[in-house]
Amino acid sequence: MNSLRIGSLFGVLFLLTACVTINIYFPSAQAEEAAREMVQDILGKDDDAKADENRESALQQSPPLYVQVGEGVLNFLIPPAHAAAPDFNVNTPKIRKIQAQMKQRNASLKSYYANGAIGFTRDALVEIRDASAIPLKQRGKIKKMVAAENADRNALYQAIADANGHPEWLPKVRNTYAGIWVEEAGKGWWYQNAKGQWKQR
Amino acid sequence: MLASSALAVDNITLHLGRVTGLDWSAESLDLELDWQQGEAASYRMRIKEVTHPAFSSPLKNLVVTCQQGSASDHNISCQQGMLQLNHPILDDPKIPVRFEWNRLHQRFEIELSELRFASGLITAKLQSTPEGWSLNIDADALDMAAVYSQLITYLPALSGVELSGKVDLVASASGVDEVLSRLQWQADLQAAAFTDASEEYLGDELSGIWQGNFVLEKKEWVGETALTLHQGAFLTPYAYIGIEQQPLSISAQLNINQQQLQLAKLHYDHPDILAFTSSATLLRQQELILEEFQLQTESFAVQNVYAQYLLPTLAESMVAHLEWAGQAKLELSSQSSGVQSLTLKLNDLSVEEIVGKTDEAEVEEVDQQRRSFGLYGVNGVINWSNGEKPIDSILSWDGGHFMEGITLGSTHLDLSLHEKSITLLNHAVIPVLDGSLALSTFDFTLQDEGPGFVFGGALTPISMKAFSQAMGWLPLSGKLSGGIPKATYHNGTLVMEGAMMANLFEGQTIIQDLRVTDLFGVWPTLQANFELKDLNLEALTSTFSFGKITGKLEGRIDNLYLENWKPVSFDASFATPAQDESRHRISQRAIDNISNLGGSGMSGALSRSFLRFFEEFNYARLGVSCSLKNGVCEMDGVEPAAQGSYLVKGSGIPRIDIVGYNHQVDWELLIGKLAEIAEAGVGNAEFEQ
Repeated sequence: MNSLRIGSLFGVLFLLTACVTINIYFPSAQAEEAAREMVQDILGKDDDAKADENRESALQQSPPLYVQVGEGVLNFLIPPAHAAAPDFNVNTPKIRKIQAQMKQRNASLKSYYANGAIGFTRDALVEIRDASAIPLKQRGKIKKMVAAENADRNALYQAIADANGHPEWLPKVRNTYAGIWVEEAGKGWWYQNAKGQWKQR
Repeated sequence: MLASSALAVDNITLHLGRVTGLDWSAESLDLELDWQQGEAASYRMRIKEVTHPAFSSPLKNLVVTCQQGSASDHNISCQQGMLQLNHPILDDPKIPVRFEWNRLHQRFEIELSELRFASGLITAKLQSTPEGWSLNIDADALDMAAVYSQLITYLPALSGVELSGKVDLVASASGVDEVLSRLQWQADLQAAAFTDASEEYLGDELSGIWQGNFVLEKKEWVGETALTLHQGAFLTPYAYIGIEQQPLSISAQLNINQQQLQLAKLHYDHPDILAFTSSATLLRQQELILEEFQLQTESFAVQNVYAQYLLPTLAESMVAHLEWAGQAKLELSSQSSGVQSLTLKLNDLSVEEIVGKTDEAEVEEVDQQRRSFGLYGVNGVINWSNGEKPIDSILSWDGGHFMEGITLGSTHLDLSLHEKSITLLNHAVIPVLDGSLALSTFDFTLQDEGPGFVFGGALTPISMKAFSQAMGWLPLSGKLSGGIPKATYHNGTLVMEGAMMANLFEGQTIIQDLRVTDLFGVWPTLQANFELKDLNLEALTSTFSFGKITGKLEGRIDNLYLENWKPVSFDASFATPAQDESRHRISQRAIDNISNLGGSGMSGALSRSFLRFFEEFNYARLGVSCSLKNGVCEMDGVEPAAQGSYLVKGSGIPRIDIVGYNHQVDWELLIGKLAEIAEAGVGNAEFEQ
């Protein structure tokens, strides 16, 4: 009897653990698509490039079977609370302005993404990772642009969270963008993995 | 001196203990002599410690082996010897040495050759007499990073600085006792680089000659120094100085005493870019404090200074997208409290702002470039002062433009620049298109958040045709004029207070609550409310090539909001005034066109019916409202009809009503249709019989 109880307890714990795992598969595909379109617009990617490559989006991977089963059982036992996810389709004048600024700035920054001078960080910002790859003549300007780009990116994520009426969703928005920037990065561009190590696309 | 001796036939060892001269000393000196004929000797000397003012710290554990020397009561010398000195800064402890010490005349001379230090080779010669000492150094290919790593222990203020490159150095110093009285050097720098701790001041690939010559006169160092660089670049937060085709030379005379450092006749010469003379006084307190500074440039090409020096450090700035032509000359005087006065003489200057321009812009991105502002033939003398009574300034230009096509004409401004403000002294008239902007007040202030200005004045009539063309709108007729009671620009936002009137299509347009943000930026926005009264439709429709309509029109555009000069949202409604007694006639072509816009689907029918014989028709009322949001125009007519609403409600015989059925109109398509009509000037409509 006891063992059965313990077994049940483990089962519930397992399901609860599975529930936490499920939350990682946020937000909805449609929502992320809007964020992706924005990133593609800023990076000046044309439509052909959009359908490219084998994106390793966490979204498109099916959760492992045990999670699916766990989720099903759990949903049956406990009706799921509505999963709160930011709507990335929000579009405010502030967001449009930031997007226009970032798109304009990208023309100056993209060659330094390509040569490895600047990389995409895990917190959805940019960082000069190799200043020597920027000619001295450009270095002062690019440093200022990187600072401005980060200010814009932070403002953008906050603006999206604010437009959703949930300023506290900033980390969620940032996480989503962190993944998309990397996925949309060109071949050979540098990015930080989850541990903060620099990797090359 | 003779501490002890051990006698042998041909070998003597002397323990000399401490040996001192006027300004030097050697501790625990042991001398081992191999006696030869006369005074000739070969010997070995061990010294525990040697001190001399020229050495920053004592030299320890020296061994001198002399193959060819001499020794007498008064004299020890070595013509060919080897000094062994174990010191971490030396790449090789063995140094060929030649020296002579004369006890009688208190004269000492030592020459070290092939001293291997910092990956380079040094020859050093020290001469010391009771009258004084001199040190000559000739160094080849010293590694500056290695030199720096040795120097850093003595110069903690330089910690965090990184240095690299090679240097050849010829230097001489002389003095008496501990006092250095003359210093002279020439350093030949090769691919030198430096970075300060903050990485804000950098130098790279610097090659050239730095020389100096200083003497101590009455407790004051007096001399001159000069730097000529043939190659390399400097980067500071304010300017980038790249040395490409022409060498950069800087020379100055210096006087340095306990209290201050005076720079006189500082000449800066970077051919084709900038040349200036300058002088400065710096107080030597805990740190250097600039007490006085004067600078006077020669006439320089503004584009060169802007593009070569300033542009590389400008980003995200309002002045980062300019192109210049013409010359300027600058005089500046500064004190410890800051710049006191500045005079800028402008000679036939032109400036153009191009938004969307980047160094890396690709061909397909050129169409994103926009010429947002320009002035040509700018001349003047700008006098700015801080604290003192301001001196008047004059600024004039022959022409210019605002945005792509709003032309500005010849203008003369009398200004006063004082501290953080610029004030217009007299009324000024700036020709704008075919009219002008009469400025009665203009006050510019530089605040912490950025520049701001307030102006008031009046627009004397500008033809709407010219204005609308300049804005890239559909051509409008009439005149734009009216008072601008007060307009303020602050933090990138222009706000017009009060109402501006425009005489548009023989009626009145009142523009209120005008607010423009990011005026010179990437994403300008505009907000305004418009009220239109007594517009003459005939004037309006003739300019649009819309087809003639007579009668009056009134209406409002509320909450107009443009982004990047394109409408994003507004609530607009126009209709025939209720009490209008003017003649209400509408032409066949106008009916065609309105029918098309309303989406009534009757294209071309009118011209195929008997009604084609009628040029014009009477109408009772006409009107349209459009509420734009999210690209959709929520459209309505002048009054409800059975299905849809009346855009034109006819009267008399033959009577034509135009009823719009489509309430939700795609704004982009609507604008496209209007543009087509305006361009083609011909409409074709059908109607239901």
